[in-house]
Amino acid sequence: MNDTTLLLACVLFLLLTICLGLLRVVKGPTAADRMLTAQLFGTSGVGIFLLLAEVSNHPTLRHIALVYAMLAAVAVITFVRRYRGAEATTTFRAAKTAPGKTETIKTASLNTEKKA
Amino acid sequence: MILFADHRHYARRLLRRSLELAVVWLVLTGAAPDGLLPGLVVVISAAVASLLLPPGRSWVWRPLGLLRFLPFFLLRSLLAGTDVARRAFSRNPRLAPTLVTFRWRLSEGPARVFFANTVSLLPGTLSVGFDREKLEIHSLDDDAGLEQDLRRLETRIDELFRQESEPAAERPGSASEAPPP
Amino acid sequence: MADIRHWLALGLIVAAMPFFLAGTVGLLRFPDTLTRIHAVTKADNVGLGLLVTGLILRNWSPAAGAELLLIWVLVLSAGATAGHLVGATARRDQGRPAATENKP
Repeated sequence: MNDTTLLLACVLFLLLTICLGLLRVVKGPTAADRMLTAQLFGTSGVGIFLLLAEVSNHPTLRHIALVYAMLAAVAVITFVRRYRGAEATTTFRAAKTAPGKTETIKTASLNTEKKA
Repeated sequence: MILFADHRHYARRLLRRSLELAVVWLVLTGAAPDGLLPGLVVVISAAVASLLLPPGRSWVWRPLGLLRFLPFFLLRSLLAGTDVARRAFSRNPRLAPTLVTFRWRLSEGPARVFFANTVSLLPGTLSVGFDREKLEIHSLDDDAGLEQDLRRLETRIDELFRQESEPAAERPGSASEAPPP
Repeated sequence: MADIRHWLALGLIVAAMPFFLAGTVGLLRFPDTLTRIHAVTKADNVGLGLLVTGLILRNWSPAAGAELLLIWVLVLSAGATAGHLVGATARRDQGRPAATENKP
């Protein structure tokens, strides 16, 4: 087995872990759980891009990995911002959005299951 | 003359920020020659933009502190990953999640943010709440040695940050005397 | 020497895989949201760290190495911040288990 096959096998493996992670999206139960899969997508996705950059000898894919890492972070922050809405003012006082909009979504699905 | 001193201070920060960003630009473009001119424009405008945003106070790393912190952090975070992997694969993960309140001794600013982030990457701990007086930490075990570990991390991080230009108004220790809510 | 580096690099890349898997398994198996966050942030960051180290050894060029390190640091800080934010949300959501007070 040469290097390329091994690295490609690693790429497939990472894809597989992402697919497994999707089960958590299906099961939930809370929005935060589902968001965690997005975070998993972020790190594993970066890993996949880096490996592909190595295999195909395309350094551009590394830049994509970088952008991907940033977008994953932005996605999580957006999630928290929307779901915590107006209550998160201590953390995000600087950001400005229409407060009415965030409030309605917040109550919709985050409290689907409460644990003691 | 206050105004003059202020300007000089601003210029120095701008210069340092520009240098930091220039390194990032060179890394990203692989120092390609035709990227240098746009890089100059981008770096300077990004530096100006970053200084216009709060917080106004500026901090720098201490090289020696970084040298001591880095191996400590790398080893501990490797341990954290191994620990959580072992739990994930074991038949009985034996989790005893607890919430711990940690009162700040670090002075306000980036040091606290850095501490909160580092805690999340060390074995068994995750920061889940943050305010002026305390940090809330979720731990996988109810381990008695936790507090000691956290205090050790605190000293390491205190060594890492040096507050610039302002004499330390709030030294570690004074913050912990804040009354509980 | 180059040979040792080459095999070490491959070894590190392969060694990273179990950590990525552990992140996913932890996400699926751990009992509640907060413990799941532990799994995702820590295991995946170590996995990516090993992967990046392996790739740095393989490339062995300062430019590629610097970029890879930059990516890792970015993912590390983004992962920690994201973990904290999701954790704060989940914690608010879970109600308040009795916090054990510890004094400075």
